[in-house]
Amino acid sequence: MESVRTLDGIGVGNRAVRAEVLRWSARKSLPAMAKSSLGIEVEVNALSMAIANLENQYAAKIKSASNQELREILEAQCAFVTDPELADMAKDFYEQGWDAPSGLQLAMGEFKSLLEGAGGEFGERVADLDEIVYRLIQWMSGESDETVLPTSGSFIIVADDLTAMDTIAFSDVVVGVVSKGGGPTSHTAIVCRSRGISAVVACSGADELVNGQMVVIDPDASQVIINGVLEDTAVDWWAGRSSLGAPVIQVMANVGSVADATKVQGADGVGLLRTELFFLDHKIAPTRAQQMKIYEQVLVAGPDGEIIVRTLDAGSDKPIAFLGLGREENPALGVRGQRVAAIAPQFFEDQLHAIKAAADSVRATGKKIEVSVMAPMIATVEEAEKFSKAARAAGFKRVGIMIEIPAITQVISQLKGVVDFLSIGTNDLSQYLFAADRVNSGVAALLNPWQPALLSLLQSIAIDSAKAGIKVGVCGEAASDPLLAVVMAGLGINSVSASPSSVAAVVDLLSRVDASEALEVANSARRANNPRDAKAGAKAALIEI
Amino acid sequence: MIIKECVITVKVGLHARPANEFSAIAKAAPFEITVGKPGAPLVKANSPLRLLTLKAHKGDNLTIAFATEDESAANEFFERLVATISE
Repeated sequence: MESVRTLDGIGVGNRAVRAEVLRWSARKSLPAMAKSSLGIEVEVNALSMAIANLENQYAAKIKSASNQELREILEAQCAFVTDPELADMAKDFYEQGWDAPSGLQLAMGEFKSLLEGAGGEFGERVADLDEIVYRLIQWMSGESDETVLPTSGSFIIVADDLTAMDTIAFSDVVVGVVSKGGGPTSHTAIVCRSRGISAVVACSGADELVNGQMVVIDPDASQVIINGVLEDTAVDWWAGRSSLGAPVIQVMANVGSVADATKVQGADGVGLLRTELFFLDHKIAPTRAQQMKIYEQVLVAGPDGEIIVRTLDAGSDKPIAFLGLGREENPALGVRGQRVAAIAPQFFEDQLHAIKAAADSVRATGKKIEVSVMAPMIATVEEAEKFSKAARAAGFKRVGIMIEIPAITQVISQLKGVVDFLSIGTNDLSQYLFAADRVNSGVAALLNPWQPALLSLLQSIAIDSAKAGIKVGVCGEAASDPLLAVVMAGLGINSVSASPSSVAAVVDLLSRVDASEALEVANSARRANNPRDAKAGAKAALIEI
Repeated sequence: MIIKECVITVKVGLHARPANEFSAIAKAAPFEITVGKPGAPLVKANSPLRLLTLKAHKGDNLTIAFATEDESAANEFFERLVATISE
């Protein structure tokens, strides 16, 4: 029998899975857009050579394809590669002076923009088009091939770290993720949580894992078990408590895509509708009308009730091409979130109006939604005033801000009459409170949401908000942990917003406690001096009550 | 120019294999064939990328235009094209 070994990291999700390891080599970013000094003919020729080469690669793969389905997929992709319309379109851009990779990207961008807003299988083809652009440019720059996800089977993806772009490409064959880098609030963790993929991040021993190895990911124990066996997962430990009906505080859902929105069940509205992922792919700023279409789709697909849309949170690790943000030494502390509005005021004005127009048009169909907006990365009352004014001018009745920067937590009483609600983003709040980079796995332990200082700050925010008569919710990843959601209720938080895959568990546990029990659980957590004892204390208190 | 109409009955709609076969047939025609949803601009039928951008699902109507006056040739290609988008 093969030996069983364990690797430690930080668990994401609550379901253990067992599958085969597939190592993922990260994609390099595409080269920056550039003009050519070599002339049109050279660029046209570079593209046609790349196309011919890729066509040959496809032909070889099609020949060796093991099944009909795979063969048809490859044939369809190959037909896009050799479509003369693509080369013709690119030629228009070469005539404007762009180099081969840039002209190709711009040309494919034209086709992609025509697919904008297409759902289902048509929308999914955009990934094929991106794949083709990537492979053609790889060939032009003389670089090698990389990982392609198999179309069937179950795999645990193992990587140094994954970008949002990588994780978007994950199909249903990905059942688990192990990353050497990242922390509990890295984008890898967020995407995995929202898609119900179990993961262990910040796993320093991940290099040991090799392709084909069978491993178990146990997120509860924060372990990867090499040659491990999957045990029957026990029923939820709180199942013995009886349900009191409704959850003790409002439970909403976090949504970042149309696919997320369709998955939301049992949530009382959307507490955080992220708008970044809608724009990651765009080379040029989408128009109001284009944006409105995207928002309409997600509003139609999502639940009824209060829907809180967050304006674009770009910058740092979420670059958006059309905003033209420069490189920064320290992007997490730089121009990001609402700060970008100073550089791109027109985009933010368009976004507010597009959200309002989409909300009005979806409401007109009879869907019972109340759409409000909130701004990310607000540090001062002055910034909050500015955003509130702009949002109300666009027609919004309820306006809020995110609480992510410690500075704003010190002036909550002065937000009275400025905003209607606050939403705590625990991920960034932890990053700034503990001076611990979210993407540096070396400091991941500080970002544990059970840290006593974070719990203490949540409590003081809740108290100050109540005094100012402003509702406060938590929309960070921490709210997806049912036990932590009980603690938040006890600390005085009015609502939590969890990832769609966690909503059911959060609602379930919050329906089995009343306000005084939640307070007792919160007090137990607050007495601890470290995150482990805080969690253990909360659990023990809840079992005892 | 000869113009005809048909309905997509294949489940996946006009992309993937159906679009591939559709464009291959259009490519083989000795005259230009264009296609689109009724009332919308027509696109070149020999381009899988253009076909994809029609976002034509099962149940959608399609207008197909044949740049020829040869009725029997147009009919022959029409039948072959319809076969690729029929269940």
